[in-house]
Amino acid sequence: MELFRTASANASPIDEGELRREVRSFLAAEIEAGGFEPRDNNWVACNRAFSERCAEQGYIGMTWPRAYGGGEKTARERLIVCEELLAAGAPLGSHWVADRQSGPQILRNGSETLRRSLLPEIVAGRCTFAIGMSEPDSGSDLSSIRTAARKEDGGWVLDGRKVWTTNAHHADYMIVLCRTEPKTEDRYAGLSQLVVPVRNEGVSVRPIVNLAGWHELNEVIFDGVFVPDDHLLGKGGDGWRLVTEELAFERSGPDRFLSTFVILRLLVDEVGKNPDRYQAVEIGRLISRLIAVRSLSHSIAELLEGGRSVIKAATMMKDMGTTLEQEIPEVARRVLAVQPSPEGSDFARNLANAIVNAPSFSIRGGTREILKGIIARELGMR
Amino acid sequence: MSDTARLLADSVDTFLARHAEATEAELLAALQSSGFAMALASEDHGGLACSWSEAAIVARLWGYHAAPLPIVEMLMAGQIASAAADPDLAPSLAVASMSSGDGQTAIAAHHAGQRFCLAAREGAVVAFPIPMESGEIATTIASEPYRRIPFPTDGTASFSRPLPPHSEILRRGTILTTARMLGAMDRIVEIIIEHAKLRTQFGRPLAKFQLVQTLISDAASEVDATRAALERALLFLDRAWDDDLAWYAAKGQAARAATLVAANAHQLMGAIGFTQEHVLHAYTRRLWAWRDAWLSQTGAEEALGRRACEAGGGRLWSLLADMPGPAFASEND
Repeated sequence: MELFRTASANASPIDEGELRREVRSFLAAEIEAGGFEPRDNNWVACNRAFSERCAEQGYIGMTWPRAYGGGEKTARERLIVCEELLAAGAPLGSHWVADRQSGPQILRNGSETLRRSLLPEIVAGRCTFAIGMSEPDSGSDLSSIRTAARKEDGGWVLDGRKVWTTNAHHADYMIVLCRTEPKTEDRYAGLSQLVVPVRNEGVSVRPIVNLAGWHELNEVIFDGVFVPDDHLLGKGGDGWRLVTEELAFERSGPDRFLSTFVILRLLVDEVGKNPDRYQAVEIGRLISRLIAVRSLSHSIAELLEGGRSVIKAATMMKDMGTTLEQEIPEVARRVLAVQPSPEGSDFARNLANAIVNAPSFSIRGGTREILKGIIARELGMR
Repeated sequence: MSDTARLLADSVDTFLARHAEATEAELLAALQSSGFAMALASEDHGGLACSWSEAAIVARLWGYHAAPLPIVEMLMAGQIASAAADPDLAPSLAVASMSSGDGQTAIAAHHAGQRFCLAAREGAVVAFPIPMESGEIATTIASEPYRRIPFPTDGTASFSRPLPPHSEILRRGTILTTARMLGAMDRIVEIIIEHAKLRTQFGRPLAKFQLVQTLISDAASEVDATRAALERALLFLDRAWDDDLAWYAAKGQAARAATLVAANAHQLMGAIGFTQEHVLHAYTRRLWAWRDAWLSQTGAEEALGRRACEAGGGRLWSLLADMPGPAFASEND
């Protein structure tokens, strides 16, 4: 039977307010200087210069060991910085994936050579990662991937095709899930993850334009690409475990409930100081949900710090958080009669952007249906 | 969770399990002698000097066991009486959760020992003897008794003791109600998981059907979101911080969760759960009532929306993210 954590367990050893103020003043100066324009769902957008300035502030690789350029800060401090960056609608695409999951993956399971060469570059904001999981015939069912690497002297030779790869056209590296041993009865055995330089002989990246008309997704083709031995993560063959761990990181952060916070902010401004009852209740319903999901996300940071499993909490949080992200523009369009338009006001532009991008929120990083299956398993039903 | 809290949880759990078959009168007598109702009172006053988080454990377990008696109001009575240096008042004090729209009556959950009523009248908190003639006991959809107690007409509130402001009484009653709701929802999730594993249809357990898994996953997610929101509200309450957000959010979330959890549970249990015989209704009927007990779901949502609009977009994030500061530190609880 679950009980409450008591107040002392929630106590934060750091001055949270001071850190938040610091990030806010950095962001305010950035906006003032035209460093970026706040926009919803902006954490996918690449802006190398902005990422490098984040790096100067120490906002990348915050929790990693100093030996690899990291800041040795707590998970809670990183959470605070990420929340502030996301709530401000800052463009984080050039470092987000590397900071959130690829870097931690390399730190946990990478060779020492890989750690020494890549982690400091990520921390400096100079190294962009993409995630090579999905394939044309493998979306949610990753065990069925066909991309494969065969062993050769000193490394691996990689052949295959990945799709819907976000920002591969900006990426320096891609962590590619591939089959390194033939499929057996245990469909999850024999998979491995390789760290593959994208600008490399045999790698070609082709755009897949999304329904909003944007080029974020790509098809990536590997044609006999040589990958050195020390670019293998883990022992080889244990890729499924690595992917599962990595996805827990991918699913547990504030990017899973703040993607449309900018809309909520603009909505509140548009409605003004004196909402009618309908407006107040609708906005309040969203705020209530946001606070609840955010509280759950903070409990995940505590679980991480305590070295405990976050799979159930992270999966629940992503499911509810992405649903909230989708609900925000839908409430906004009902509360205010505004024509969403890419050429309209700030509010109209962001609303237009959110409506057309919303379907992706509950697909990327694990579909809603997969998440519910994981929760069911965690509850002992599978 | 501290050792004190764990000990309290174990004792209350054991107490409620032992009195599962007791009548309401028997439970009331046992509760008054157990001292759990005085959890929030100081040790000098025979209480346990619990924090609000610890008191919430008591309320949560009451919900978990579908136990009768207005435990939320009784815990508050213990705290208020102790803070007013009159602990003997606690067993006979009804704490009204609301007043009627016409300002004529206070509405309070009922138990047999009540002689006095504490309620808000035109924003001021007053305490007065319950008139002999106000005997009409009504019930909620959970069959829990409540009374409409008329305010004294001669204008004399009977005693003047230091009382917390109405806003704080409302906040505390709402938070403890949320804890009780959480307990009921925790139990429902256990019941439906167990049912889904045991009940076989079409040759396999219900738990193997994806749609069934989804019904349960969604319920469990709502419950954990409620737990997280409640912990935040309790953190602020324990620290005596001002809070014009977290407790509203906790209630809004709990009520939203209650609607979904009750609906999914009944859907899953089918006709079995739609009977008097099955225990499910002891939880779901209470949840339906508690959604709007103390501060209503819509009341909480509206308050949040107004607060957000008042802050404006530029300060919205700060409103949500920044920790509030000390507020009612002077109060002697």
